[in-house]
Amino acid sequence: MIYLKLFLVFLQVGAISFGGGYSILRAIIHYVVDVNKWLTLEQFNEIVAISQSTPGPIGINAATFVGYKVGGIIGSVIATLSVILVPILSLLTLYFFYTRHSDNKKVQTVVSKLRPVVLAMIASAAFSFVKSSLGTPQAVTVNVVVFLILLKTKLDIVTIILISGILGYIFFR
Amino acid sequence: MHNKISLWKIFSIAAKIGGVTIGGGYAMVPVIREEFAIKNKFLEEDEFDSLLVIAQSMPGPIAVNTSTLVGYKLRKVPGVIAAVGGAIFFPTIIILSLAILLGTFYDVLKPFLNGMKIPLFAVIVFSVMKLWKNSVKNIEDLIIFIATFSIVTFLKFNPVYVILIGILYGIIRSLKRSE
Repeated sequence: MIYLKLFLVFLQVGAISFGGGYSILRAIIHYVVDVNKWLTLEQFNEIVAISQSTPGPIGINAATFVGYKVGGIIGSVIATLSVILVPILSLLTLYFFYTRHSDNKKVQTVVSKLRPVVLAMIASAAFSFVKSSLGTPQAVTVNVVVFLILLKTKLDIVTIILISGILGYIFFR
Repeated sequence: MHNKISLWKIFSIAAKIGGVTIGGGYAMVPVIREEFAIKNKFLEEDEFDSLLVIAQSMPGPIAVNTSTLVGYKLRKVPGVIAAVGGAIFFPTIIILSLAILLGTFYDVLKPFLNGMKIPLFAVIVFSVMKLWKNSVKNIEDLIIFIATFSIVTFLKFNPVYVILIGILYGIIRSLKRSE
């Protein structure tokens, strides 16, 4: 039963993961934290931090991790496969039936209209991190510094998250 | 005409791509192009570009999507299975190992995880800022952005339905335009 639920949740989450990356997080939070209460927001945020700093797309990594937490190894396999199922099938469909240039153009128009919606999903995910990211004055300082680093330097996000983890280990133990 | 490319070759190149694309996203497109089109010559660069357009117009991570299409082009359905299997091979193994490890040593690792979580807000807000110019181009987009953000964040609407409504709206708008 839990496997079927995992399958249906990640099938839907994967089906709407337009724009890649962070856009998928809000939908996962909705099903995994808000509706099914499989994880707390705090636990999910840990998963996001790990998914962001290991190889692979963040959405798939998060699905694998949530799947494991909810249903063990079988759960993780089900979540991983179901999150990519609709994308794969829809890609092959598009490849088969819409090879004509004009049809591709129509799909592009629809997708471009979706951009502000997708961006709002990402912004909404950021809002979910307010509590764990801005909970203390030190944490606010870290976020301001990180924002400036991203703005002014070419330091990559993985390095930033890992450094922050090490600082956390030193100061919050 | 090149020889038939083996499923193992497709799997291993896709695994290489999946293994290096940390964080994922469109920044990885040059790496994917390099492996599929330039180094291993699975297909021509302009063929890759047209597959990339299809890959970007559907849901799903770009590394998996391009692997799917390249796999299909080379070896039909078995090619898709080899390519997708490759693309998710290392990420899945690494995440599973970490998940098991974390289950065992959670108390020791908790301070580290707490530290890792903190910059996520800045990281995601920065990505919103970077995508802003390309996503919100006029008043209509701005209204859609604010409306979507509000109903999803404050009214807790199901994001799946919100995206579906967004697609429907896009279809209606594109029909109007082509009249």
